[in-house]
Amino acid sequence: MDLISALPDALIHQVFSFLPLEDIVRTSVLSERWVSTWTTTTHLVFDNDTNSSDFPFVIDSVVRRCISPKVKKFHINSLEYVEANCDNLNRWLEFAAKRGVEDLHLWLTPMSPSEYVLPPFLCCLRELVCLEVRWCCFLLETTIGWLSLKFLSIEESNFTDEILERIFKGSPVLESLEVRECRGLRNIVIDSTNVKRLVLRSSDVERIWAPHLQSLVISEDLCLSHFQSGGLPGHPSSSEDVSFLMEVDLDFHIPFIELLEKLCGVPTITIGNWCLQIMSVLEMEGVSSPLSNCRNLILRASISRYGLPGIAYMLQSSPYLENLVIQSTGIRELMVDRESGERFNFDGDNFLCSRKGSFQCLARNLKRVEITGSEAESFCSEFLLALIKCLLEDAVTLEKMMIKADLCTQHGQEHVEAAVHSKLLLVKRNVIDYQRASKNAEVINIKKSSIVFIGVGIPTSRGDNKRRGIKGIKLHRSLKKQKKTQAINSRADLGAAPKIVDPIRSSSMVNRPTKASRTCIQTYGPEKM
Amino acid sequence: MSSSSSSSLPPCPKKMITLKSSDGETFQIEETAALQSKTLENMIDENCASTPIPLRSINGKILAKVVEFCNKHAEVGVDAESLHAWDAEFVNVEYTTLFDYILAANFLEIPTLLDLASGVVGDMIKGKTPDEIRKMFNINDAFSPEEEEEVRRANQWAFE
Repeated sequence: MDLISALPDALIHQVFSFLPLEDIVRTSVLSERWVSTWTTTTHLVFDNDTNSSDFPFVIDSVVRRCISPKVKKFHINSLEYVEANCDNLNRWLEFAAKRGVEDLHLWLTPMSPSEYVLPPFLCCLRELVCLEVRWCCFLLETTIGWLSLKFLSIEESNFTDEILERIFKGSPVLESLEVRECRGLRNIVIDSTNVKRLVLRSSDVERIWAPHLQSLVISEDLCLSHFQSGGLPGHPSSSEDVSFLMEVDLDFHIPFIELLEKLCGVPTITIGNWCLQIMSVLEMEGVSSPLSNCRNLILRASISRYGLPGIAYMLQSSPYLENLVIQSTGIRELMVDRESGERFNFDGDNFLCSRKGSFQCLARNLKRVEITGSEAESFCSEFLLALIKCLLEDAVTLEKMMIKADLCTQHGQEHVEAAVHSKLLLVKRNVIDYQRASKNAEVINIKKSSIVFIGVGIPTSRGDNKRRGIKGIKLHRSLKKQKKTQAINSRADLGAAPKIVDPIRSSSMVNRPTKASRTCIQTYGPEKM
Repeated sequence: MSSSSSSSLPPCPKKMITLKSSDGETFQIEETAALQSKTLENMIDENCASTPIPLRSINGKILAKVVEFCNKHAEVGVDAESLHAWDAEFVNVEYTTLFDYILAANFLEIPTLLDLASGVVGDMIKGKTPDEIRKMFNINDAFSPEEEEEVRRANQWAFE
């Protein structure tokens, strides 16, 4: 016999576990040995990629013929849920349940006014490790006993606080919970020390109480907003503290100052568009920012009129900031009401001038700034340039500023590039010595590739605007290592995390140090962009 | 006294165990690396690993590769990306060797190797017609066309 046919069934099923169901079933015609091998497969993954109306029949036919005593994985993806399918679903799930399913995935496409009600037997599957459901709901009176469940994802479900409570009670080893677009959920209370990760996309939620979480992802739409945070075990924490958080990813538009306060001990914070713009509104409204122990700040956002105040907000609240990474996403407008919108009519330079006296990180700790952007437009932002200017001028401890522009965009390229280049040139003229800047012209003329402008400087004193230390300008191919910068999450920092008491700000607008005007930009004065 | 106390000294040199292949070749493997095999782990736990462990179903050529795999996966400080590349190179072999890996990984209970090798075999089968699969793996005892048609009809949906 050939080698593959000689493998024991258990090992063939191991190979099957990497195959779509069609391929598994097709092996039945290989030879006599294979005719019924597929009927004992332990992995049944039904995908309705072609949106076929036969899909329920396919599932039914396979389920009827499958004689496997054990089904580890049972997935139904993209089944259109109409009430007529209810009995079928009950039967298929019973099939999976009786075979000790460990990984159950029921991804229904809503085609009926109400969700599929999960049968009660599903709520006491002891072997279930991973459960993902969409357009399914739980009966309120069901008792849950998922003794092995580690991962639970619920999407588009009618949900209540009580059901969630019941889930936590009945899932003693649950580690990760994902809740997306679930109506009716208001409070998330997680006592369990096992639950480390919570993903939430559901704007109904008003309160999260989860002292042991390590990772929290809250998203409203595709604009990513992140908070990465780390907590120190043993750090004095109230029951409502989130001091164990290692990573927070936030994207929502409800007030979150309280949450920011709780994240004060975290060393790495990543902020996306939404949050940055909300911070901008807070900043412009004069709401004080809670002090943070942040060492690494990553902004994945557009540095526009509506983003700059948010950055100021974060810079003020982060006196220990050492690394600032800006991954510019291009210009996106904030959806603010007319009244708030009017507040944003400011000049970038003047705005930062008025604020930077309270950017303590510039005077003390900021060492490294990295600015990347893949859209040429993002480098045209006068607000980004104002920020660069402000940072270079005032960051006394700055060792390195890196600006990487990946300028591969579509039509009208040259025109855009020229504009970008002139802006960059303008920046460079002011921060590097002039000879270097002229060498740069060569770099800047390169089309269809990425431009990397690296300035390395160890400034001598605050008054030294020439930044004589800046020495390097290089041309690179694009290096998209954004993920790496994200990973600067240094747990080691946590041990030293001091408890920060806000010394200055109770109402920030009033109390901003007036020193700001003294340190305002000097070299850039006449060259307005 | 001095000789017996040497085993309890703290900076203990790397603890090695010896594996013996079906064709009598012996291989030294660090205990930490060997722990990736549940089979070997059990033997270590039960103190059965002090003498060479005979592995009668694994020949020297394959055992050498398995030891190499375990060593690589026990290395500290290897980032996921480069390990992935290393793995890809490791399974870039004749399919006959892949089956040897699968059998060895199954016998020694090394889930990472089992998944890796069977994943590659899965990729080889994915999307192929039965004829292509037969040819690839040298499956010679095919059905007659009539028999095949009958089997095919039973699961028509998978062939559409």
